[in-house]
Amino acid sequence: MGARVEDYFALLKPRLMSLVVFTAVVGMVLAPAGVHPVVGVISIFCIAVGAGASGALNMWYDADIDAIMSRTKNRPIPAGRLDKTSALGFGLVLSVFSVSMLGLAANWLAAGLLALTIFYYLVVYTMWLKRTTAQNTVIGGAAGAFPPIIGWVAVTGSVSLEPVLLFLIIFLWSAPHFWALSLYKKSDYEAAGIPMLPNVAGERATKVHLLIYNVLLAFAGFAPAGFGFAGPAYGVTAILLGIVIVALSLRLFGVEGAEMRRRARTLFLFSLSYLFIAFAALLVEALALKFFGIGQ
Amino acid sequence: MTQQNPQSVTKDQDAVHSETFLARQRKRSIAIAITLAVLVVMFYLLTIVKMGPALFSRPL
Repeated sequence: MGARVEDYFALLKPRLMSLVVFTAVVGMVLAPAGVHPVVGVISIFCIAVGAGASGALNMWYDADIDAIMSRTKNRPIPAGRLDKTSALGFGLVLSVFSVSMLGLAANWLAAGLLALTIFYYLVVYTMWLKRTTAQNTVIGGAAGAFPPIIGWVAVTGSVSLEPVLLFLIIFLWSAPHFWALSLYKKSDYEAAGIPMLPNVAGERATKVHLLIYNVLLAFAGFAPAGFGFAGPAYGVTAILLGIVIVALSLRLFGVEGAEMRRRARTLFLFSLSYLFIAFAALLVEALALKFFGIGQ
Repeated sequence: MTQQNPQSVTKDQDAVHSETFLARQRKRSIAIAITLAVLVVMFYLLTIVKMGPALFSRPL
């Protein structure tokens, strides 16, 4: 009957895309240089389209396992609303477009990093690691951590410590975030044959991994203030966020079954807020400094 | 109870299907047209920003 426009839009994973746009904007705003608003908007648009392209290519490759899991079975391909070839073509065209356009608008280093991100998410994570190792979310998390670096590079043309710290925050955040999800959606991943940590190493090992990563995240989250490129408002926010996420990780120990799944879900949801609040604090502080001189 | 002719039921279904198909095709065409218009505006603005006023004062 032909796919709907909404189905093509769903291929772009709009929720993931919004996170990518947000973190890339933060990277751009924190950069110690100015950029023409038109170039800035086009660069963000390209980064968003590049992220959407990786989402479409991921759905093209993962259609078989998406059909098994309750969280993903209503996606356009497994639901039969869109064929795989169209998704592949759509993803490839958007990939080439976003990378070329970013190169023309900003610079070719930013474009190269965007191309690397798409390649990493599709080939390294989706095609290789996701189905072979329980460490898939650790290494795959790097793909989602690149946008603030790309935003920074689009403005400055070079990489420095500050965007690398932002990369580190998202990188350390993504693994425990998905481990929390896999703790309460364990049966889904089991049915699809995806080797997530709770299925391979057990729930206790997952909780230990989760706690270690969230402790590291709490430190990495404070690092921008510690290294002096974020102010005290961000520092205090990061400390509070760190305390809560570590406390929620500790609450997973000593409980089993439905109560453990409920707590894992709470941690998963808070984890989403963690990233949003931390990056929003960085953004607000940087904007206050740029436009009103507050925080100097 | 009146019996429906199976052939007319199939025809009705075909008509509904083709109407849905055409409606979706129309929406897709509109989406492509909007995308192309956005691209034209984007390339125009980017050219002006990158080349600046020199674009209009260069020797022919």
